Amino acid sequence: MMDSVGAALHWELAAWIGIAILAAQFVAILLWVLFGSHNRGLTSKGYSAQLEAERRAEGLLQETLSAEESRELEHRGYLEVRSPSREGRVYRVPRGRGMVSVYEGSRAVMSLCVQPVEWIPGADVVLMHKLMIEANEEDYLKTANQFEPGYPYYLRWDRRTGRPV
Amino acid sequence: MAKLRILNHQGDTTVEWDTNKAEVGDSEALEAIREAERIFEEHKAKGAAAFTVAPGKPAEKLEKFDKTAEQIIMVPRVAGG
Repeated sequence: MMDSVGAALHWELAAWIGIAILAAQFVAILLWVLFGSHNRGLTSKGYSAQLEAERRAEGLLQETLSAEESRELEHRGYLEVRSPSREGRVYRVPRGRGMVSVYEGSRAVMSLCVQPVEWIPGADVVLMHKLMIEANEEDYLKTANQFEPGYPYYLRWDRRTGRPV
Repeated sequence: MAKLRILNHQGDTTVEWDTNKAEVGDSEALEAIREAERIFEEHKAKGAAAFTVAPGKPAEKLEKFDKTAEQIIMVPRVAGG
């Protein structure tokens, strides 16, 4: 008799534990749905704000570039900025984020990495490089980390010809 | 209209002022110039660099606020990457 009562209590306790687990799962799912939806909303807003920032930055870049510079950037994927101090040197500023390649004549001489300390849209980064090279080349070169040409693509370069070997 | 454009996470923030009105002492234009100068100094203090930009001319570095500049663009502080 006592054994059957003990077994019944055991099963009742197990049932309550099972119900508690199900309730906890229900609450967890409910929280996920509520806060998950909220987070998706924020991400979407953040994404559209970023698109708007990119659109504004692109507008400013196009206002600042000459028609020829715009065409070059569109077709080649980089903007060539002439060195104001060194004859024959050009800086190739990529449209996307990445290193600036420095050419002297047709020879790559180094790669430069300079970044703003805060996030700005890609088109603003192109404009930033152009302004700094044109108006403040010396400080630009002092700030930039300088690498072998072609870095970080792990190509071996012949320094005399500036071509990969 | 002259412009001060600060590059930032929104693309840029622009402050405009009318140089012609400022020349004749228009209080609104003078207030806009004071506000632009305050913003200029604030960003300079944070390490931003300022450049004057005019069509067909190379950019020039600007150390002090120039209310006669057609367009000033400020870029945030940069570092070697």
